[in-house]
Amino acid sequence: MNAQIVVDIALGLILVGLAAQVALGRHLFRSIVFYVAFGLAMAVIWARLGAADLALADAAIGAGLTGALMMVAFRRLVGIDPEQAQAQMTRHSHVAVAVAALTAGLVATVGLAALTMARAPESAGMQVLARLEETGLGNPVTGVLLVFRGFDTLIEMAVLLTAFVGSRVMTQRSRLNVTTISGFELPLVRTLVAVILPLAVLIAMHLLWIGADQPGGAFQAGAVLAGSGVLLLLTGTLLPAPRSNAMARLALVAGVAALSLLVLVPLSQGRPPLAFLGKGSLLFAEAAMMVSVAVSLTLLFAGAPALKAGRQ
Amino acid sequence: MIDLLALVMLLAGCFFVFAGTVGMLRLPDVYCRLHALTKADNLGLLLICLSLALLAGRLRITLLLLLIWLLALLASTVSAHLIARHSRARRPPTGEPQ
Repeated sequence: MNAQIVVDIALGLILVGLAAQVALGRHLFRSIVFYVAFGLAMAVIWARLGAADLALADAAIGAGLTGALMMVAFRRLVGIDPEQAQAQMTRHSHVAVAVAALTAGLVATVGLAALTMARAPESAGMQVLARLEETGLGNPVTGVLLVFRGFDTLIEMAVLLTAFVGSRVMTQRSRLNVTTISGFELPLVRTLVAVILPLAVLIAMHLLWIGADQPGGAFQAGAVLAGSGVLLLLTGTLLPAPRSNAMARLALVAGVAALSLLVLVPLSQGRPPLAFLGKGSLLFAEAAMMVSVAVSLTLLFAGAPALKAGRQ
Repeated sequence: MIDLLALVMLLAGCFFVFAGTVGMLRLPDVYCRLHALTKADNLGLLLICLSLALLAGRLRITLLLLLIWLLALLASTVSAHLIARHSRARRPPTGEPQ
């Protein structure tokens, strides 16, 4: 057994251990912290598997943004129902144990079967790699997301929009203006924001730009931008606005609208929907998706339909 | 020779990160833990970055690693300050183990 396999097995065990801590944790806050650690471990594992796109997405969305959303949800729960937030969760249903055992068995069986099977020569992945040259893209993940399975991405953006609207319906009556941290007026924090923000915007644009040829793309770039939005909300530079406005709505639907254009424009030219229109159109769609992802996640964190400028 | 130097720095870096983790788990109160974590971990990260830069032997990668270290330094400085400030506001330090 060589060192690589030892590292891989250790990473796998760490992942399962963290997942158990998330599920069995006695305290909600503790579970959230372990969930963030779980997302980071998952990102490391994706990187080990050579799936850099997924590693980036998991580090930015799975660990970063989801963690921030859960933290702010917990903080609001403390405000709304302190007893439930601090409650010790000791009761575990017996059904849950059975379901977990069955699922673990199923995953193990499928995994072992997949390991022993020979790779099918005509699998979808092989066909994508063979036909990727026609698109001029260097990153097969972007090829699949926007050219070969563009409908999936369109529906994914629609799901994000629907989820956001759903959360607005759920939360619009509650007063959720408790995001700013104390100490944001300190020079130290202002310096941090002044250094981090330009770098974060630079990284987001870089991820968007190289997404066609290297790991990166709209979701990763949008998550990095949303991280900047969270930082601005925490430091009070941006504040939740009580009423939605045209800009916020436009940003929320930009991704769905741009992908719909990719479907409709070829149709109007008598070609099949989503026929490849060239790299420029993909960059346009990815930029719109980045804006939608960033604004949706930031607004979810703010618990508001729009944002307004706060203290400078 | 360079490999040996990189190995020594890598091991030293791992030692400091490990020491920082032990400090966070074992030290009595939040200020001591912050002290152990931010000081030891940043030194450990610097040593690991330096050893990786030596192994890579390229200016571009060296500068990127240096940038990573500076960002981690900045983030840990500010977060340690905020955590200590928050903790002091809630419960001033007594000098006694909590």
